[in-house]
Amino acid sequence: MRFPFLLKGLLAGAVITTSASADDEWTVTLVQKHLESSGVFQGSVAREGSRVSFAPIPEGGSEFNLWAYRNGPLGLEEHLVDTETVGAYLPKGTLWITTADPYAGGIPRTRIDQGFTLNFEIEGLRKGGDAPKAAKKVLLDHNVAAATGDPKTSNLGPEEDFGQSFLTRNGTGAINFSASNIPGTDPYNDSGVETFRLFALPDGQTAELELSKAEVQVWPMSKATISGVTKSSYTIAPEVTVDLVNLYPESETWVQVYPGPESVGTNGTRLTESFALVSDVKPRDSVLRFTKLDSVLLDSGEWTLEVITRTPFGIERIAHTSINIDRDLALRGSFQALSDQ
Amino acid sequence: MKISDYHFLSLLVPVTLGAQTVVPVDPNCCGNDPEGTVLEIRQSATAEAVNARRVAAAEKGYQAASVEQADEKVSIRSEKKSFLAGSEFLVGAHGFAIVPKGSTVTPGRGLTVASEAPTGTKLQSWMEFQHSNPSVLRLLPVTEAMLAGDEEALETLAAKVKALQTGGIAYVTSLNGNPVCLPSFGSLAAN
Repeated sequence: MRFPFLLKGLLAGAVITTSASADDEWTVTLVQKHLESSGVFQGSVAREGSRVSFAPIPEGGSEFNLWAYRNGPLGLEEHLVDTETVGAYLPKGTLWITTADPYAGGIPRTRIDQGFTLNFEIEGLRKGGDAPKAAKKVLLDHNVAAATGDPKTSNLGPEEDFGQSFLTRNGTGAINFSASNIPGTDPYNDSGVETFRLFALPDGQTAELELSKAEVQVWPMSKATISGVTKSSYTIAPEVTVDLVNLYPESETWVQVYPGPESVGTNGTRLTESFALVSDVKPRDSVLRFTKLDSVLLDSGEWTLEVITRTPFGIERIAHTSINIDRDLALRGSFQALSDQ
Repeated sequence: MKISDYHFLSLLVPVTLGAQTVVPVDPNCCGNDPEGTVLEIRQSATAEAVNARRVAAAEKGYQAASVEQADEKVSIRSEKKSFLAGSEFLVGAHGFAIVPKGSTVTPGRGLTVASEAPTGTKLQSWMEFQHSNPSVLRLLPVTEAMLAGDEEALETLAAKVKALQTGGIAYVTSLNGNPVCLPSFGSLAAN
């Protein structure tokens, strides 16, 4: 069900344009509420077309809500399609969030250790003593909701207040966050949603009109645990298991080996036995097993095995271990010449 | 060749156990990097470093050119919007219509005003409902002065409504044919 809703403000009224592609059983109605005084107007609107608002828009402004409703199997159902606020002295504002993850499927997403940018565009603010209170500043409200338990099951806790500030100038701007503000101390498990809302303050004190909202989904860091390397050296390479937790959505993770001690940044030999590719929109766990390391750990000596993950934030080593291969045969003994006997 | 006399001789003799076969590694594995691509791999940050960054970010606050810190918490008055919660239901013999709560200012014979949607009866559009209840439903147009909250205009309307109360016709305040609520009159909807 899609109802694009465009509102063009005029001096006295507003032109409303609707375009709906809903089922016929839904009725579309527009409700106009005066903000400062009494008055609620309502009337059906066509699925497509435009019309002038029901009533002139007073100085204090009007809020327009486009609703769809129907008499469904369980009774009356309603759906808020869109909302818009128009007023001579009401400021306008838009919020949007950008992150290093180019994901465009829903709300933006990022990782707990990564930052994001809150962008905003404000218009309609006025300065001067005679400017209405509502026109002097807008409120930026910031809430966070941490997930409880396993982030993959998406049990989001309640929203909690994080902070507020005022935006006082027209134009565009941005606030950069170098890391997420989701509470917690375990970056391999902490996740949640940060929500920013922009409010107009009609009386200069109480935030009442939501002008815009922006959210960002925050996922935890990935973790890898390597097991199977228990001895100081091996004649036959051990079987190695890599447990992967909370692999970032649409990431890829693999294991590489190279001779010598660990040196981050080394491009080693990637093991083709298994690698993890996450094509989901949520983090995933995985287990990689390697049973034929003898075929790559050819020489005796120290080898380094690393777990590498590639995300929109870069290519990172998330775990490593050392495997010492010792296939050399040591001969110790004494020689006695036959002539000595 | 004469073997010299050694009491201890230690030799390291490299021995290759078994025949080894190099497993071909697909250079395009794991992300289809072209052969020969050199990746920039960095060490993932430790939990301690990440937590320190989180604390620093929280303490930094909202720093931008046009951002002013809020010294006191601003209360937010927001109510979950609901079209149905702000409506009343005019119920007639052939169905019911949804109008703004408080827009039905006088009761009428054959029509009831409910605060909840009735069941078992047809939902009609406002136009349909008007056409199917012509003898018991009228529109009471409001003026722009009334909309603006002009007291004299509202008093005139109140007097008119009072006079119509006992007429047995349901009047709905309207603007350009659409139902409109002027809250000063309250709602006739049964609780």
